[in-house]
This record gives sequence, C-alpha cells and structure tokens, in this order.
Amino acid sequence: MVNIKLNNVSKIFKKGKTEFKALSNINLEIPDNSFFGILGASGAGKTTTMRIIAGLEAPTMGEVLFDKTVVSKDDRTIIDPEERDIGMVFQNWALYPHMNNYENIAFPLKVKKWNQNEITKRVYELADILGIREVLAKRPGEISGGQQQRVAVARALAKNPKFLLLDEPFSNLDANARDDARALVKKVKNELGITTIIVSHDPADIFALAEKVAVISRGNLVQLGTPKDLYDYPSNERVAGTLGDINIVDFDLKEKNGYYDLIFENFIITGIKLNDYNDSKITLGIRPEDLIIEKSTEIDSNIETKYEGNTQKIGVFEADTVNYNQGSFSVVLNISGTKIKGISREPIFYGDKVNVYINKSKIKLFEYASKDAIKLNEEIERN
Amino acid sequence: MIKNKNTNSNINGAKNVKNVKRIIHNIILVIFSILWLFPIYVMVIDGLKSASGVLITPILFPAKSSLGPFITVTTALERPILNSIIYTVPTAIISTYIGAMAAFYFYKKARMINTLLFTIIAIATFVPYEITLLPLTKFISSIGLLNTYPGIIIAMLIFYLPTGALLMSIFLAVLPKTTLESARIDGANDWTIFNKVVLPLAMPGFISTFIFILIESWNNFFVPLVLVTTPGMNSASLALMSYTGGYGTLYNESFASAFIASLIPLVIFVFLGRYFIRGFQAFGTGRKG
Amino acid sequence: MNKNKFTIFLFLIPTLIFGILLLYFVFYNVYYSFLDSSATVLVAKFVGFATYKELFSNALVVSSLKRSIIWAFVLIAGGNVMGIFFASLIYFLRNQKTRAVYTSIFVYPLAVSMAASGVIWTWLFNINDGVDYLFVRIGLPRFPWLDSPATAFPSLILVSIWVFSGLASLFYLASFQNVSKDIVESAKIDSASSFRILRKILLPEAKNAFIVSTAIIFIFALRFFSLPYVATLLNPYTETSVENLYVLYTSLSFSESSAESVIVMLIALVVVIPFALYGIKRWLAND
Repeated sequence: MVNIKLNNVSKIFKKGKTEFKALSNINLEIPDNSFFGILGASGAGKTTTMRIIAGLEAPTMGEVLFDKTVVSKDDRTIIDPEERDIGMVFQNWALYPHMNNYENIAFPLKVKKWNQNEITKRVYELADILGIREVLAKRPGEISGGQQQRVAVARALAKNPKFLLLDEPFSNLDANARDDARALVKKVKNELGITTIIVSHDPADIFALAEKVAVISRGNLVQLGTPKDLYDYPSNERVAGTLGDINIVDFDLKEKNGYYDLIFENFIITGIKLNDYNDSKITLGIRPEDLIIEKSTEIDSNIETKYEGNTQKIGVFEADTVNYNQGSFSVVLNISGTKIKGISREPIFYGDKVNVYINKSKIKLFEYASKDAIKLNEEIERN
Repeated sequence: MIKNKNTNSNINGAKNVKNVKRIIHNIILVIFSILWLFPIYVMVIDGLKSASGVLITPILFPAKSSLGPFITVTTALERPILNSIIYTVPTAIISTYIGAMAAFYFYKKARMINTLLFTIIAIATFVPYEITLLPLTKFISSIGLLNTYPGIIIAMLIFYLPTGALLMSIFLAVLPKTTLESARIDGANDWTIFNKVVLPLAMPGFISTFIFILIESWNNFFVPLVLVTTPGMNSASLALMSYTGGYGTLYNESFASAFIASLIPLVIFVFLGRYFIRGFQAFGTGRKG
Repeated sequence: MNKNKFTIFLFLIPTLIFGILLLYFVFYNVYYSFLDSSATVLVAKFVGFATYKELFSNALVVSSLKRSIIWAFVLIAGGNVMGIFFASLIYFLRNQKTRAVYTSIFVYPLAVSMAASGVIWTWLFNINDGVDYLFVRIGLPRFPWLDSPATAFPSLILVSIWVFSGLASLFYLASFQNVSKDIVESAKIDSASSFRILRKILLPEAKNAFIVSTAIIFIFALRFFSLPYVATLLNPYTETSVENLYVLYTSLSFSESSAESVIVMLIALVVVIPFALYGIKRWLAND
C-alpha cells in the first residue's frame, strides 16, 4: 500500500490582508497498514492536515510524499486528489443526494470505468460487509445517520484505495450509533488491512481505534505516540486536556525533608519528589478517575487502608454538583470557587460529605510557568 | 356578571373588527387582481368575437363567440411561432448550460482576477442590448448570418449568456463544497463532476435560469427586428406588428394574435411560474430560493 | 494536474468569447461615434466630438433622452409604490397557496411580451370601444389616452407600471419574509395594526428591496422599445432614446446612432456598475 510522509508542512490561509497560519512545520510519517489518529481541538489544524494529505489543499511550504513520490510541494499540487487513489469519509458524509445508495457506492467505480458486472459485485460485497444491503435502493436522505455513514464508508472503500481518511466520521451520530460505528470501522480496517487515518476532536475515537496518534494544537504537532502514552504522559497541559477530561489546578509548594507538599487551600498532597524545580508554584493535572470519591460515614474512619500503594487520602469535602454518566458518578468539589472533579462508584448527592483520595502515581505535573510536563520521579511511583 | 358580559362583547367587537378588516383586505386584492387580469379577459372574449360582434359590442363586453379570429391568426402566426421556438429554445439551453459551466469555474476559482471577470459578466447582463444595434448588425452580416437562424441565435447568446452565467453562479453558490470535493476524491474529473454532480444538484436553479431566459428571449423584440429582413423569418412578437390597432382594423384579430403569440410564455408561466419568479428573485437579490 | 487546471479554464472560455464580443461592440460604438459615418459620407473620417455636438442640437434626440429618463424615474416611483402595496397585501395573507396565486397574478405581465402588451393596450385605450366606453357610460369625460400628444406618454407609463409592479413586489415580499416571524407575531399580540407593523417593522428592513427594484426597473426602463414602438409607432411624443437610436440607424446616420448608443450606455452604467458591485457579495455568498 503506501507510506505517507509530511516534511515540514506549513499552511497559511489568506483572507484579504489578514494571514492565518493553520499549520507550522508539521513532520509526520504514517506507516503502511497502520491505524493512525490525528487529535486536536476544533480549529487546531487537524482537518487542514487531512485535506493536505488528500490533496484538497496544497501545503504553503513543505512537501507531502506517498512512498517516494512527491504529491504536493510548496503551494503546488503535483498529483490531484482525483488521481491520488484514496478513500475519504467526510464529517457530513457528503453523499450525493440525487443518487441512490447503490449509485453512491458505484460512483467511484463508474468513474474508473469498471464494467457493470464488476461494479455490481463490488457494491454488494461492500454492502454485505457494512450491513447496508437492504438500503441500497434508497436515497441517502431516506436512511438513518448511521446507515448514511456506512454508505459513505462503502463509497470510500469501493475502489480499493491506497488508504482511507476519516474526517470526524462519528461526530454527526448519536452516542449509541457511534459505538457501533467505531466497532464497524475497526472490523473493516482489520478485514481489509488498509492504512487508515482518523481525524477527531474526540479522544474516545482515538482510544477506540488508533494505534498511534498525533496531537495537533494551534497548528503545531505537539506530541506523537500511542494513545496510552499520551494519556498517561502528556507532554504539556494542553495535550492533557485534549486527550480527556482533566482538572488543572495551580498548587503552592512547601518543602519538607527533600519532599514537597502540594497545597491548594485545604487540598494537600504530600510526599512528592521533585528534582531541580525552582518555582514556588506548580500546575497539577488530575484526571477525574484518579480522584476517588466515597461517601463519608462516621464509622469508617480508618478508610486509608482500603487503597494500596500510591493512593493518598486528601480529606473530607462536601459534594457540590453530581452528574451520572455511564455507570459512574462524577462529583464536583467546590474548593474556594475552584471546581475539582472526581469519580464515585456509588450515588452521591448534593451536600453529602465525601472522602477524597488521590492516585498519586497518576497525577501529571507541569511547570507553573511553561505548562510543560515534569517527568514524575520514579521514587514516587515506587514509594 | 355585568363585567363578564362587557368583556364578552368586547371580544365579539374585536372579532367583528377583525372580520371586517379581513373582508376589506380581500376585496382590495380582488379588485386589483381583476384590474391586472383584465388584459387576459379581453384577449379571450375579444379574440372570440366574430366580425359582426366587433361592430356591435365594445371591447369590454363579450359577444356571440366564434373561433374564426383564432383560426385566422393561428394560421398566420404558425410560422413566426415556430421561428420563435427555433430562436429561443437553443438560446435558453446553450445560455444556461454554458453559463453554468462558467459559473462552475467561478465556484471553483475564487481569486481576485475572477471576481473582476465575474463583475464584468454581471455588468454585461444589465447592459441595454439595444445600444449594440450598429456593431451587432455589422458583425452578424459580416459573418454572413443576417436573416438566418444561427445569426439570430448567436445574437441572442451574446445577450443571454451573461445572464445564464450570472444566474447559475447565484444558484451554484449554495452547493455543498464537500460533496464536490468528495467527487474529486472519488476520482472524478471536472467534466464528470460538472455533469454528474453539479448539474443534478443545481437542477432547480438550472430550470429557473432556463425558463427565465426562454421567456425573456421569447419576448425579445429588438434582435429579430434588426436581424430579420424577410417576413418568413419573423418571430412571434415581431409578427404582432401587423395586428396593431389602427382605425379600420378589427380588434378581434389583434386580441387573438396577442393571445396566440403570448400563449407559450403564458402556459410556461402558469405551470412553471415559480421557476421564472425564482429567476427574477435571484437576479435582484441573490436569493437562491 | 496541469491538464486539469487547463480543463477548468475551458469551462470559462465560451462565456468569455461572447463576453469579449459584447465588450467589442461597446467599444466599436465609441469608436464609431467619433466618425462622421452616414449615408451621405463616402469615406468616414475622424471628427472628434462633432457628432455629439450635432446630436445634442437635434431636438428629437434630446427629448427622447429626457423621455427615457423621465420614464425610468416615474416607473421607479410608481413601481415601488405599487410593489410595496402588493407585497404588503400578499404578506398579510395567511394561506401559502393564496399568496402564491396573487403573486402570480401580479407578476404575470412580465411573461407577456411588451409587444403583445402594446397590442392589447392600444385597443383598451381606444377612445370609442376601449375603457373610454365605460367612462362615458358612467358619466366621466372621454380620456384621450394615446390619441393626444399630452396623454400618450403618460398612458404608456401606466402600461409599464402594470408590467413592473409585480416585479417590485417580489423583492419587497422577499425582504418582508426575511424579517423574523417572532417579531411580527409579538407585535400582533401587542395588537399592533397591520399598517403599523408594515410601517414600523417591515419597511425599515426593506432597504435592499428598494435598491434592487429601483436598479432593475431603471435598467429595464432604459430599454423600452417595443411597447411604444408597437403602441404608437415611431412618434415624436412617445419616442424613447433606444427607439431614437434605431431611427437614426435606419435613416443611415450611423455615427449619430453610435453616439446616442454611447450616451445611453453611460447612463446605464451609472446605475449598473454600482448595482453590480453591490450585488457581487450577495450573489456569490459562498465563502
């Protein structure tokens, strides 16, 4: 198939006299046969990256290579999208409303002048894989969003493209349809063994599908790695936020026998080892699932023993707002106006007294000034 | 009790006022509709009058009807109407189709120079074509096409092609960009995209533009007037000249001829009027309806 | 890709060719207007503005130019007033179908050729058998319509108002419909009268409609040819400037005809250029 490479790609959009730098110096290699994710907030430049790979935009500077072939370079499109032999699923699916679903899927094949029998065979084959055989005679406007998306995937795959691009493919689906769609895309990818790139703002897509992920923020490639690496070791505060819900709070530092206490009002984490850190403040990232919340009862005052290792009890707080979400309760603590979110397995209600624990090995430390990650000291992890 | 009664009568009063207003509103509309439709009425009743009816009744009232005048003028206008069809149908198809091609170009290429080109086309659309009288006749006769079908069609195209390009640009502006991009990704070239995706998607706009140009060119009087030199090449509206009322002519044939010559645009208007209206609206406000 | 860049340019070429031809015609007129070409001149030569000077000393040319402009302005006034009147009558109808029917009734004259309208109205203006028949019966004086130099031109203006009011009403109706329904509904709940809603809510938002119908009516009015030509023939009391340039052409005064063409063109451009520039943004509102 194909190995995609972006060398120093920058993109500048001009509107009138104002310039907007959408991408700056992106270097990226997407290996053959991988499932690659591009994650970023909206407006970060991820869709631009994908459009440049597809050939719908030319990079203002830099070059894009498919294997050894330069497909676009320095504001020039050398190979047009129609000749790049790729499949793409657009965010709004971009199906042809005037054709029925069969004709939609057959369109790329008709353009390639396949013969009628081959086209029919291929369309039915894909329809079976994607479970849309019964809607082929209908038009896109007459079927559900989930089915439209399957048609879009089938159309993208019809001509056996070199690789598949998915631009926010699930964002127009409701939550249930989204899970099914992800599973289906994973299945198709595994069955056909096609290089697939997914662009999304939703970390759930990335965790469900991607083997490797690039995080793009404000036009810069900020981190590259496996989804787990990025989740646990985000290179800065913004990456941490892009990958999932996280509490970002500035703490005061207080040294005690070579270790530090991290203090935010009455929220105090003790025994953190830091090397060469010279600021009086530090920024902490705490994912809600690393902040364990339990209903506090007077009987169990000895609860600390219940969690092992790095879990530390912070204290007793009052629950502010509570949301129920897919099997767990997210509990917000209001600490002098700052909201900090944790997770409880049992129902908690507004005003309940709760015990708060923190998983110290999972907290993310960022320099107060730069918001870049500070490597967690191994000693703490073993502590 | 008394209070209640009062409110009731107030409500009834308000209702009555409302009803009266609605009736007045409708009466005004009906009066103006009658005024506006009056020419249709006289075309029909007077076109159906026999020669003796013409002599004994005024224009405003019907008389004993006869199909005579309609038959006479239809025979006389057969050729001019056929000529008009030959002039206008190709003009409307070509102007719309080629105009749509230009519109597709503008849709794809939004650059400075193209805004300039587009502006020129917009201005060309509104140029009073009568002023080209001298160069137009010189040009058409220099290529040997005076008093011929191709000559008149070419002349019409010079004026209606910009209209087609302008209207189709307005209608194409609302096409979803991603659908067209998707077609590129699917491997289609511009020609395929234009015919298989752009035109079907813009079909309502295409019909509007076609109908608009068809009616406008059908009613065009000036181009045939200056380029036609023999009566056999007359267009329908030009042929009407021989039916204008002077004293001594009978008006039944005038009305019948006006009716017959306007029949095709009127029928189109009755059945596809909303496309014609949409064309005019796009023309002025850029509304894609 | 070069192949493709070229293909897309091909899409523009036919339109461009015809556009250039039209442009060439316009400049040809300008060129010709500086000559002294006519039936009596064997070899035309450059005479500068002499043709224009001659033109402006021709009373018929001046009066036809004046008449065209007056026609445009009176029609703009009448068309806008009737357009607003019809648009508001239609706007306050509830039923969508009735609205469509009345709109069609007021717009249909645009689908009838001006030549046919000329034939019809010539007879309706007949002082024996036409509307005057009714006037006389109900005790009104016989109105001379096309038969008197003083009333012929105003009569034709009336016909043009019959043709173009519907067009203006389309634009006003469109702009009324752009006003949020909620605002109108809440005004109704405050029991504001329809007239008040029209004056205070709808009309202030109708600036676009005014500009558009004014510009379009102006452009159409400048082109009036077949209506006066069919109704009154070539007649010094109703002749428009485009009729006049046709007269000059048929009497073989070619350069004079071109010069008058240039003048009409310039008058048109005064309206057309600002209007086109004003329209571009809305016409191409896709980015």
